[in-house]
Amino acid sequence: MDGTARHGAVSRAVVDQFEEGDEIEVFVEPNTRFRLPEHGDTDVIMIGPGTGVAPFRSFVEHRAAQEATGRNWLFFGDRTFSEDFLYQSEWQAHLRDGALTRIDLAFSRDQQEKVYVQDRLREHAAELLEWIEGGAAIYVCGDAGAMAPDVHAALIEILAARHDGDLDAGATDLETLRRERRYLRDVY
Amino acid sequence: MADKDTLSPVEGIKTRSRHLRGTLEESLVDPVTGAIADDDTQVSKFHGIYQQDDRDRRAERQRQKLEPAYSFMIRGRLPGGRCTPEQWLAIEALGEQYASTGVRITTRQAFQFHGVVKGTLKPTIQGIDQALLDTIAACGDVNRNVMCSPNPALSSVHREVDALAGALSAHLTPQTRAYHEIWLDGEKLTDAPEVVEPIYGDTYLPRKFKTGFVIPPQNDVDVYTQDLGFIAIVEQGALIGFNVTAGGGMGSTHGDKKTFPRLADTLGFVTPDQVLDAATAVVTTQRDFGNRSDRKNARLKYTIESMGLPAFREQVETRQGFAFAPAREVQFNESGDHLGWVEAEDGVWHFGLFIPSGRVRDHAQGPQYQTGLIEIAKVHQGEFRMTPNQNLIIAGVRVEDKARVAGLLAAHGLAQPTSSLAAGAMACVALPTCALAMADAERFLPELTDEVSALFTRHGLPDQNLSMRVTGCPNGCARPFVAEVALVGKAPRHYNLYLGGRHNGTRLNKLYRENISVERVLEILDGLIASYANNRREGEAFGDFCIRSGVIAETTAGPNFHDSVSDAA
Ligand SMILES: NC(=O)c1ccc[n+]([C@@H]2O[C@H](COP(=O)([O-])OP(=O)(O)OC[C@H]3O[C@@H](n4cnc5c(N)ncnc54)[C@H](OP(=O)(O)O)[C@@H]3O)[C@@H](O)[C@H]2O)c1
Ligand code: SF4
Repeated sequence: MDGTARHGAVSRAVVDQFEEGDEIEVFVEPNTRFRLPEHGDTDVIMIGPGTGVAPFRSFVEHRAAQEATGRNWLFFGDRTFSEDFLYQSEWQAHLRDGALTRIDLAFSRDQQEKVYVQDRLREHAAELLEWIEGGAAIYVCGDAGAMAPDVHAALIEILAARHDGDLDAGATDLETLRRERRYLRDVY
Repeated sequence: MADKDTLSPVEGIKTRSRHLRGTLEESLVDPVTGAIADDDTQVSKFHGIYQQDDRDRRAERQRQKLEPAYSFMIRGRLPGGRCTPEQWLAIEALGEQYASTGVRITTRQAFQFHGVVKGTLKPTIQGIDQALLDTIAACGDVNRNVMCSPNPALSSVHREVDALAGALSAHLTPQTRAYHEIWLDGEKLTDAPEVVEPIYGDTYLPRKFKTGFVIPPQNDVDVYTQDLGFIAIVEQGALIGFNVTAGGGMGSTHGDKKTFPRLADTLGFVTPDQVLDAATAVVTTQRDFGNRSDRKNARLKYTIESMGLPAFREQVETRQGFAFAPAREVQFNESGDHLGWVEAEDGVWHFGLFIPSGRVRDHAQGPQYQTGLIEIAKVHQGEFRMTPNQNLIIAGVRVEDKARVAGLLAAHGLAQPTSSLAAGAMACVALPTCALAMADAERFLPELTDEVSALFTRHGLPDQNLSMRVTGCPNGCARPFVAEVALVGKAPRHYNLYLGGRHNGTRLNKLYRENISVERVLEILDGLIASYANNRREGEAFGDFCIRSGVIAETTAGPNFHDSVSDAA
């Protein structure tokens, strides 16, 4: 995996199955749905813990190259700050030059209690709502088993706040966002 | 030299810091980096906190797109290196919990932790505060930890001198509330006093400032290497006053002859009640006359060189409001510490424990410094004194407790005295921790002392005393330029070799060979030791022999440190 020494799910399978020197074919399935908003002035909220952060590197670079005026907010989480802050120096540079507007971090194993990206989402619920009401698009990338459903639930809660906490109404809002292609997921 | 009128960038940082606050509070909560803002790395030093990174891991982390592995060194302020056994246990517990490398005893009699990450700085400092200790002014352009001979034999004089060292430390501690606000969640006072820093002023000193008290005949604090020194004058067992010295300092830069180590000049004699006034006068003279443009020429030693000693003394006398009495005769016999058991004049016992490079840790197959000292601290009724040579004195052991302490020392492999050569050797931290290091020091010292010890043994001098010091750069944290043999780092496993210091710390050495390999150093020492073994005079020390036999020219004063260096160097 670019830049990190660990074995991801894919590379571990590769290592287990093949000998060095074997030829293997790799197919990259282009995800045609997981695309940046059409208009550069749309704000973007990116939620990508662990390896899920990968597509957001090109998102942020692309937006910068486009000179898109919309804001970019990244939620990233991983195990520890010191060893697992993937692409840390790139995010720092993007924050400095303004390509990334804001980053919120959830390192799950730096303290006793687990902290995940959805905890950060909840902490910043009011601002997230402002962004969403201003037309922001939400992207989620990463683990499909636990992370994506949990983040989904957190987003419903956040949206429900507009309806006196009515979760069904929140879910309807999120479904609307999905149909409008303002809530997109690339989970695996 | 930089233009006199252009202030060094650090002066701007000090001015903008609003009495050492800077943007530390913001830096501490910035989650994206393990570092603090650039300017804050200067400000934090005044709080005893020094940003570092693991240099062994820089390249690897850069490839991983990770920032350097930042962490912090935290250094305590303990005048005279004294602490209670309870404080020792608290420091140990904090080191265990927050530091990656455990506790280290510094060359200025303080404890130091390395590898504390940003997020745990605050709890660490708060823990230190709960142990009734602090880290204020342990680094930075202020008076650093005040040193004091832990001389175990002279109990009554030690008590008096030590009390004065403590009083002077308190007197010269910055008065700003920044430390309490930032680290201890102290209240932010709205009506700040008009004059925040009566002694330092708003921009503190031009450069670091070091003060030491020494009780002859042991020159354990290397008093002449201090910016300000007080040499206790004892008559018939009673303290009558001090010779005051000023303008010592080790720091220099390779290849820059405008920088040099320098031994302090003696200003004169003062009585104990004049100590605070004399110190204030020296400090404020440096504050007002020191060079604030060029940090490489900013220590008090350069101020005295540029003013001239008579003008400097006159300025100090005017400020303190009295003239110095003529200095008294003093005799030093050696630098270094008393190790092993010593009975003091009052019948109480002290044990000087040799700790290699001050690293309080358990060695896999060897001495258990960390565990042993914890066990001793649990039962010890006296106090601990960290020494100027990174050792520890278990002080004030009553006769009836001596057997128990001795038993604990033996049980943890700490009772054996080491070779006199190892005991007289000292190294700074250097790689991988110190950003200025060009070569290993602490990690290399055991190898060096083993090799040199073997050379002396081979030439028939198995119990040779030698002051030998190694530092990773010419900043000189282990006071190398007064050692008989000094190695100062140039590149990995390459050093400048200096010879000709005096064993009691009263003469500077001089460059003998530049940038040579460890192997070459040992070859040279082999030849010199052979010649010393055959040709030395009765009682002649190695450094003195090097000068008498013409191996190296004598350095008579700091400014001629670079003169008469052999072309072969
Ligand atoms: N060998 C290694 O050191 C190593 C390191 C990383 C990844 N991997 C492997 O690589 C694969 C993919 O890794 P990855 O980086 O995408 O993910 P990951 O490392 O498994 O997880 C990334 C972050 O998501 C957190 N997380 C766990 N459950 C979550 C949930 N329900 N909601 C939100 N966050 C949650 C994790 O916390 P916790 O795990 O602390 O609960 C971690 O902080 C996995 O198979 C993983 O096991 C191996
Ligand atoms: S002497 Fe140089 S290398 Fe050694 S600790 Fe001091 S600054 Fe670092």
